[in-house]
Amino acid sequence: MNLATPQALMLVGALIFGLGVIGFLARRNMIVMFLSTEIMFQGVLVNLVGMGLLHGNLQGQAMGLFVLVIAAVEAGLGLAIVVMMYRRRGTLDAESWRTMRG
Amino acid sequence: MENLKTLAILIPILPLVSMLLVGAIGLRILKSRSHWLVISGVGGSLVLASLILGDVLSHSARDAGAAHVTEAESAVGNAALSKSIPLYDWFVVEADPAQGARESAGWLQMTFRVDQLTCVMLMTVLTVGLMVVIYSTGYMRDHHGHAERGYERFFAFLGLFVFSMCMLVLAGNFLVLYMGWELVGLSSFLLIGHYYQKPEAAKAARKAFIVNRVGDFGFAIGIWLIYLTFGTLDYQRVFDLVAGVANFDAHSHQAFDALVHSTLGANVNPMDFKILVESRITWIALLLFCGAMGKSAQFPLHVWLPDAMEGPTPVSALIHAATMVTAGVYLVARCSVIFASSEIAMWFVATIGAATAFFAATIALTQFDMKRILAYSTLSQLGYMFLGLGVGAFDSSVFHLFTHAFFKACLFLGAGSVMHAMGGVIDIRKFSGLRRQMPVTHATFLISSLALAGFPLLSAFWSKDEIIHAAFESGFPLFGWIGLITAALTAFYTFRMVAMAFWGQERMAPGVEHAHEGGAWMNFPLIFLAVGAIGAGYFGVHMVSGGGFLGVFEPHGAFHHFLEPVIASAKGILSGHGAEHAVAHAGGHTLMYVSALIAIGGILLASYLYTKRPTIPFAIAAASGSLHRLLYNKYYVDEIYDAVFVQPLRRLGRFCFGVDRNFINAILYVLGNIPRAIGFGLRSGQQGAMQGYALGMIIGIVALIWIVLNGVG
Amino acid sequence: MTDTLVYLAYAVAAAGAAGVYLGLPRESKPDRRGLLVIMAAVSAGVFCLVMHRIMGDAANHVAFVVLSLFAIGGAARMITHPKPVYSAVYFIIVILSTAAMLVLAGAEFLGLVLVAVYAGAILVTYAFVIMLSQQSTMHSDHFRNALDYDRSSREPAWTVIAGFVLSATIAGMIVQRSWPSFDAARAAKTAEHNTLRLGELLMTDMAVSVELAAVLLLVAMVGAIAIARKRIPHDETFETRRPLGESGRTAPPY
Repeated sequence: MNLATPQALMLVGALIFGLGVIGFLARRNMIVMFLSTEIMFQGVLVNLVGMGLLHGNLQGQAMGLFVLVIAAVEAGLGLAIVVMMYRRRGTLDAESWRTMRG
Repeated sequence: MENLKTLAILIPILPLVSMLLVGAIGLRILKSRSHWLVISGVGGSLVLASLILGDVLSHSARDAGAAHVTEAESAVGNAALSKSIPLYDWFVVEADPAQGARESAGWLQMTFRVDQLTCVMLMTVLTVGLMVVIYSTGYMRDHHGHAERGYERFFAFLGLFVFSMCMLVLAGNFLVLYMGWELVGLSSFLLIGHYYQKPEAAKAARKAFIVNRVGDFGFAIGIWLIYLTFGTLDYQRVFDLVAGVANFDAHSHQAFDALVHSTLGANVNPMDFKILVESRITWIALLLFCGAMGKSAQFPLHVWLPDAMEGPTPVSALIHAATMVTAGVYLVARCSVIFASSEIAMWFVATIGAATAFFAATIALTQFDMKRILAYSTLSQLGYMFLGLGVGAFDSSVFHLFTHAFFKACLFLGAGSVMHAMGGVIDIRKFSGLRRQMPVTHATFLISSLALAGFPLLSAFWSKDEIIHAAFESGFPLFGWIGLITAALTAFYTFRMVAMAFWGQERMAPGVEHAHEGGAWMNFPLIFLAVGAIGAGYFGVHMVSGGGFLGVFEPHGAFHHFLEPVIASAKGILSGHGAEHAVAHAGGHTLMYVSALIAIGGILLASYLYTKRPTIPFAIAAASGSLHRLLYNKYYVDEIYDAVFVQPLRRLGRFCFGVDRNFINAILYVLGNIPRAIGFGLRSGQQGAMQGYALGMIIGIVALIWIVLNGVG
Repeated sequence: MTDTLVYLAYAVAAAGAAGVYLGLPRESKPDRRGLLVIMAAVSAGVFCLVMHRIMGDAANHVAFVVLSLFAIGGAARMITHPKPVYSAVYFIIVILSTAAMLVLAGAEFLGLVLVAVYAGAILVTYAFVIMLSQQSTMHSDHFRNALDYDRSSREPAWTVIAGFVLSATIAGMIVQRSWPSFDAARAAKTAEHNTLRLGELLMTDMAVSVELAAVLLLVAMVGAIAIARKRIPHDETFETRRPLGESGRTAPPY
């Protein structure tokens, strides 16, 4: 069975991660910001699998599973906070929490 | 001696304990019963002091009892008294083995000294103190017998004062003396400022404290100089050394050498030491006198005493008339050896005393505030005492101190009685003719006034006359003339006050219907002190079968013999300097008649002018114009001080404040604004936008990765 | 050769950055759809080239490259779409293609779990929250109907530059670095009985970690309930209706 090369996986992971960063920084909708963090998790996960592939063991995949757990946790808590903030302000705009005068 | 030591310790302890107890539980528990503790404390001390007096008398009796006691035995008795009683080692001054063994290896000790002078002072302080405490019990209440606000505080501070004064007179070395000195200053400050809500009282308290500080500064330097010179602060060692230097005999100085070696160590050259002491003794005496001037309110440091009358009247009677202000006199009498060794110092003391006596008496002529008249009178009488000290009549001065305490305390308490009855008014223009409504006050006040005026056969007549006599014999008769003139002035202003307040037409202060006596608490001390004013003088005279004053009385009685051992050494030094100083004051009966006539003349003149012809004094005052204004404004001393010291200091203060505000604050402003400016620059980046922070974080991560992958350089 | 690859990787990042920048939602943006398409095509083309150079000898590399194109394109569209619902849909595309890529890489179990957890559980949560908060704008596809804060981006230029410099740095490192030689045979062994062996690993060597993860999930669940069920009063003083896009525009650069 022919497998994907580790470098290819890592490259794809890096690009997905970078897109997630951009989304997190640029978008003002807090839900989309959290979706972007999930995208970043995807990048990390792909990268971990690539690493595991490179070393020829299953450690990378096991770590990937834990990343999944963290992602789920983050999604749950993050969305709870988003709901709370939405109730408070009536909007999902992250800029609405910018209350310092600067 | 052990017996004496126990008594001496207990005397200050009793008032201290009563003060602490009143301070601790007075406000909550004792309240208007606070006086009992202090009365019993001071009374107990008085009993103990009497026991000490008896003890000391038994020592001295060997001296006075003459025939069957040898010279050697009396010397032993007095040597025992002049020794300091060590209580405990206080603190280490220096542990310098090169200096030899002094004061048990550098330790300054807490020591007491109980001798004849101490006994006199203790008896004076405690007797007057007890009377004043009893009087205060009545005085510090309103007409319904309710205690004033601060009642227990007042009694606690009275206890503190008695404790401090006992420490002062019991001290066995200069350091303990200084401690007591400062403690009485503190209690004086606290008691003058008793009515601290009154701005004048608070100001007067500050003034007293600050002016005293000027004097105490010199005093402290003097004590330091004593330590530098003699290596000890113990009275007797210092006095022995000074006497040794003063009586130095070039032909036989083995005794002096032995004394120096035993006190200062074997490696001190006695001749060098003698030269050192001679060069410094005048300075030491003048610096000590500086402290005495402050405490005893001698010109030019007298300004605090009249203002101190803002305090409650019993305080004026006790502290600012009878006891504390005489501490300076006590100091000079105690250090009579040091002063006698320096002719300049003696001359200075006499000059200051005479000047103050005259100067204060003239001011008293024109004042209308009863307590202030008495305050200036106190200044004048203290001036007499210093005059007496300066001309070498130490015993007469202490005698005058003793008699003065009784009649001046009585006068003040009488004035307090008047003030109490007049609802706080003390200006003698506002009332008159009180003698019918206040018979006890009038009688006692009259007796004390006669005593103050020098009426024959009353206490001050004897003591004052001795001082004037000594002044005439001092070789500088001007002092004597000043004394006589001042005596005339004293008689005049005293009876001016009596006539205006008690005699003539009956007139009450505004708002007062009816004057009444202060009750038994206040009358008893008045009567007791009036009896003292009559009788105290007789301790100092002795009866002769013929030839004395009025054919019976001869000055220099038991009192002087009692004090003889304390001042014998100083007298010896003075007689070495010049014979006329020292000889016994026998004779001088002519002067007694003259001064009696002067006193009676002054009394009669004032009585006549202010009761029968009240217009004449006003006419004189108006005619003399600027002179009257000068006296009425107390020679403008306060104003001169204000212009010379207070205002320049205030300007300096303003200048410093200006520097602080305009220069130092400007630097601080600049320093404080540097971070603010930085913050202003950085603030635009802080908007609370989390994505902005995240962007910064990402940029940092990129930089970090870049550095990790490619290295920095 | 590696140098060329590096520059190619940088080119992918640069062209992608341009494309994402053009694609990010903005108020009153001029229509540059043509440029966007060109940039996306350049980026995709060069990406294919790079992938080909990296894994040219692998048999199924065409499928892998196509899947990765889907994943990256989906991610790009997800972050640029003005409507959160559509973002969620593109997110599914990313997950599915990633899962397929994992299967291709021999991680079957992980791929399936990814689909189950992400597409099944997490995304449902997201959809739920989106619907809870944005019902009014859900039904129309038109840009004008998006909410104001979805129609503008925050600092698009700076964020795009930062994000793609990050990607380019990592990508450059990946293609440039001399990795340990890849033992394809050994790697293939990990794919055999993947689920069984992964389970053995997790239940033996990593048993404690698994327990910890379980506890973490439990705590997160309790926390999420505690946070979300709280009755939070609406902040009346806060002005929600700010002028369109103002808050994003006035923010100074960092």
